[in-house]
Order: sequence, then structure tokens, then C-alpha cells
Amino acid sequence: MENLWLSIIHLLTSPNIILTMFISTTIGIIIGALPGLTATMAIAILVGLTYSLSTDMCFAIIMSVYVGAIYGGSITAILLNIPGTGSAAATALDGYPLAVRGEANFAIGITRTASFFGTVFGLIMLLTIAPQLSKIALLFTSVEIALLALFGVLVSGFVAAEDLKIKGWIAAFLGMLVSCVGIDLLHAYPRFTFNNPMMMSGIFFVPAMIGVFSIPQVLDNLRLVLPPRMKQTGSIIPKWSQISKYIPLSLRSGVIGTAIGIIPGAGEDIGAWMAYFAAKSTSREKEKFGKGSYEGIVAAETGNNAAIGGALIPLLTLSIPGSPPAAVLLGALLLHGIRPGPMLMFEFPEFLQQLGGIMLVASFILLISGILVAKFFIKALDIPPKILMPIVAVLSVIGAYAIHIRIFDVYVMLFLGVCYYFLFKLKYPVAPFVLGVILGPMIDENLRRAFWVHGGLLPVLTRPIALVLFVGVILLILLQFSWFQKLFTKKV
Amino acid sequence: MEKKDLRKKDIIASLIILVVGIFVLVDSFRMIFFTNAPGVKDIGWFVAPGVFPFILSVGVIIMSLIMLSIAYRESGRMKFESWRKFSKYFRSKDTFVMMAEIGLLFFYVFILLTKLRFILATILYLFLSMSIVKAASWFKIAIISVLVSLSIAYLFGNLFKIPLP
Repeated sequence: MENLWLSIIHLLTSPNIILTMFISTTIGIIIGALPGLTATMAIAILVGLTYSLSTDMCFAIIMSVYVGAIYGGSITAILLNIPGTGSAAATALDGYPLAVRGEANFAIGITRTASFFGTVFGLIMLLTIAPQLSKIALLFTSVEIALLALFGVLVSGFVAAEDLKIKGWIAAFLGMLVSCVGIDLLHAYPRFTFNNPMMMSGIFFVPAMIGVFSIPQVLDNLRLVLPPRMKQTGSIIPKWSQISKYIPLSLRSGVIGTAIGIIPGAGEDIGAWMAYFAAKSTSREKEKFGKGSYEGIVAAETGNNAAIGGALIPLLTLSIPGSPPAAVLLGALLLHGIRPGPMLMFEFPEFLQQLGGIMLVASFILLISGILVAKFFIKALDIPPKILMPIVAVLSVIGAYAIHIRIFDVYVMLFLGVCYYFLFKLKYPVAPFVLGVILGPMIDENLRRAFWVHGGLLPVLTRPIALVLFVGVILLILLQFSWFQKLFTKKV
Repeated sequence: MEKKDLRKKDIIASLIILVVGIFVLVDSFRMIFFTNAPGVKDIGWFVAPGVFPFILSVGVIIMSLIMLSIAYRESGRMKFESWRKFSKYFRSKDTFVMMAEIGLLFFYVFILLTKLRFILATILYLFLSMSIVKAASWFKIAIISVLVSLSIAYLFGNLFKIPLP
């Protein structure tokens, strides 16, 4: 805890970092608010663009944009009835009717405080659970790490798929296949390189994730036409009495958001929906939901922001991201030489508190910059996607190029991005693909190392944790088949 | 997108993914049984560099076959008319714009960035890209393209010292 306060004091006494965080949070809110620009896309591009900065500065920028963007989506959800990010879809259900009733500013104000509360709640959970979980994770050896990563990728494919679940898994497997390209980590054996020297070093995850997160969005939103904004009336700063009555609801939504955030690949979108449905089912005014319920927007916004902290728990302790933006954050961590996982607390003992400090300061900044955006920068929402999207494409090119200063990475970014656009249109989720690209090498290396050490699969499974994880993976696969589901339900 | 239309497109996607899976399977088979990688002969085939891609390719093949069967079952009867309706998709304005934008992106990355300086290449790309979707008047598009390109080059190239392509 002492390190957390030291980290906060360090941030508060560094004017350049505070100023950068302020600008980043503000930009994050605007990015989140602009339809077509998502938090994940922004962070993916930023990973490339902030590569040359110090670790402190890099994560101050990325986390501020992350916190800001998840909140920002609610502004457009309220004013345009179009969620700026997927996580604000639940907010639109009640936010827009409130704006139609002439309470747009109050709705923006109340979602801002709910987002603040959600972020802080998620952060407290992160700081409480992560150190304990990392102690358990220390028991993990190569095989457990490999199986856990595989389990994470499969769960992500299962949770993220909007259409058929199998599409999520195909995406995850394709991502892991992409990660196989290049020199193999154990034998230095070239795989799928086609004798191309550029392919020898493999496909780096940063260009891959920039490509699949940004290019499909650019192509998909080029012809998007935005409806006119609702008129903003009333005060943008809610009174304490108006906020305090939602504290019990916020606490419950925070717990739900954090818990959903921990599930690999589930993330902020599902966190918001689950918190919303929980609020609806327990509310005394159920009939108001969907017609302009304050409880609805408070639950959704607390839920999605609490999922930020939740998504970081498996990321920092097990190296398995809980949400798509956290998957991109994993890329940023690896790029700066910080390997998340059980050893993080030993190798970088201050990092968790540092990140916590950044999140806490960013959430306080959110309270102020949220007002600024809603009052003064709201006109930014009028920039048509037709102008914005080509600019995003240019930023993606720079982001992909900046890491290794190789034009080949830009080719990879573009090729994967365009290929994934077609899969994206067929409702193949992006997050499992990216998780596959990032976690693929970890699964491959650890699995074969375990086979090497133990001399095969069966001796490996004598370890209890490995056996439990192996059974979990098999069950997860079998549960997709209807005959197995029937067998299971009959027995139950 | 209507479910039946989606499933028809799913059939094509599953076939492409199946071909990718078979290609990887063949190549990974070679990497398991025809390799001199250390440890493979002494310990066993399961430590060979091709094992992981082999497992993945088997998974991809099985899943693409399942996907194919689901898509075939749910896509309805494959009448000639329905395929003709389906082919309309490729002739629509939206598809034309999307294909033009994809072509322009490749032109920007493979031709413009390699032949011209970053600022000039970006001005041209932004101008053409915004013109295709008729984002604003020609004059406004020209101004936006020049200002944005110069700002990006200054911000990232000069201020943040990020190397530009």
C-alpha cells in the first residue's frame, strides 16, 4: 500500500506526467465518444506510437486513454443513441431516452461519477486480489502455464463470439497459427517462412493487433453517417444527494463488472450488460428500464469501468488478459520488457502499485476532463467518420512501423487487417484472434518444454493443477457438442 | 446481414479456412517427422517444432468442417436465383467503395510510401480516400489532407521523434 501512495505522490509531483495524463484522458474520452473509434483500437495504435517513451510515461498515456475511452462511449450513447464503444451499448438504452426528456447533461454527469466509482472499485479489487492470486500462480510450471493460456484463449473464443461460438474458436486458432510463423523458440527451426528473411523473425503482435483492430473498423465505418446530437440542457455536475442514493447499486455493479472483467476476453462490454441486467432484475422500478432509468445508466457505466481493474487481474498475475484492451496492454507490457505473470511481483515489485497509482489519478482526472469534453469539446463528435477513418488508417501505418522501423510490419498490419475485415463482417470476433497471436508462443514453448522435461503427455498430467486444467480444457471443448450437453443435463 | 446470407458467406469462409488448415497440416507433418531438430529422435515426436501447428491445424480443419456443415444446413436451398442475389452484393455501391478503399490502402503502403516522402504520400492518400466517400467539397478535402499530414508529420516525426515510414 505504501508503494501505491509513493506512486501517486510521484505522479502528482511530476507536472509533465500529470499534464500528459490530463491530455490523454481527455483524448481518450473523445476517442471513446467518437463512433467507429474504440478503446482497443486506440490503445493498439498507441502501443506503437509510445514505444520510444519511458515506461512511466507510456503506461500513464495508455491507462489514461483506456479509462477515458471506456467512459467516453457513454456520451455518444446519450446524445446520439449510438454507443461510442461497445461497452456503452447498455448505457444507450436508458441514456438516450433521458436526453430526449431534456436530461442529457444530468445523464452525462451521473455516468461520469459512475465511471469514476467503477474504475476505483475495480482498482481496489485489482490491488487486493492480484497479489494473492500471484502467490497461487507461483505453483505453476511450464505445463500449467501452457494449459492456462490455452484455457484463456478458448474461454475468450467462447465468450467473445457474437454469432456461433465456433467462430470465436476458429479466430483463436487462426491467431495461434499466425504466431507460429518464424523461427521456433525451442529449436530455432524456421516455420512457414517461405525462405523470406523478413518472415524469419516472425509476425510481431503489435502490427498484427493494430491491423485487426483498426483496419476492419476503418473500412466498416467509412460510410457511417451520424445522426444529429441531442440538445444539452441542465447542469452537468450532479449533486451529492443525487449520487449517494446509487452507492449500493454501484457497489453491486462494481462487483459484477470486476468479476466479468476477470473472465478472459469477456471485458467491459459484457461487464456493462451483466451489471445492467442485474440492476433491472433487482430494481423496484423495473418498468423504467429502457425508458430512461438512472439505475440503468449507473449500473452499466459502473460495470464497464469496474471491468478495467478486473481485466488486469488475470493479465498481471497469469499473463492472460481479461478484455480486448487488456490483450493489447499485454502487448505493451511485453514490448517494454515487463513480463506479466506469477513472477511479476518479484521481478517488478512496484509495478502493480505504479499501475494502480496511474489508474487512480486517471479516474480523478476523468471527473474534470469529462466536464471539459461535455461542455467544450463536444463539437469533436461532429467530425464525420468519412474524414476520421482515413486519418486512423495513417496512424495505424505509423504505429505498425514505429516499433521495429520495418516496412514489412506495415505490410503485415495491412494484410492481416484486410483479411480480418472479411472475417469481421462474418462476425468472427477479433479479441480471441489477438489473444491467440500473443499467447500462442507461450503455449507452444511451455507445452513442448513440459513434454521434453517429463517425456510425454501422460507424465505431465500427474501434476494435480495440470490435470484440473487439462480436464477444464477438454470439458470446455466437449460442452460445445449438443450430445455432450444432453448427456450432462440428463445426469444433472 | 440476414442469417441465410451470412451462412452462405460462411460457406466460402469455411472453405478458405479449411484450405489454410490443410496447408498447415501438411507442412507441420513435415516439421514433425522429417526434421533433425535436437531432442526429436531421443525424446519423441511430441517435442518437434511442428507439434503445435499440427495440433492447431487439426483443430482448424475439424472446426471449419463443423462450420461448413452448420453453414450449409442453415443457408437454405442453394437456388440459382439466390446465388444471383448473393452476387449482387459484389456489384453494390457499398462494396465498390470498400474495395476501392482497400485498393487505395495497398496503393498507399506499397507504392506511395516507397516512392514518395511520407508527407506527400499521406496527403495524396487522404485526399483520394476522402474523395471516394465524398467526405466534403474538393477544396475542404484538399485543405484537411494537407493540414492533417503536416500535423501528423510534425507531431510524431519532430515532437515525439517517432520514425515515419
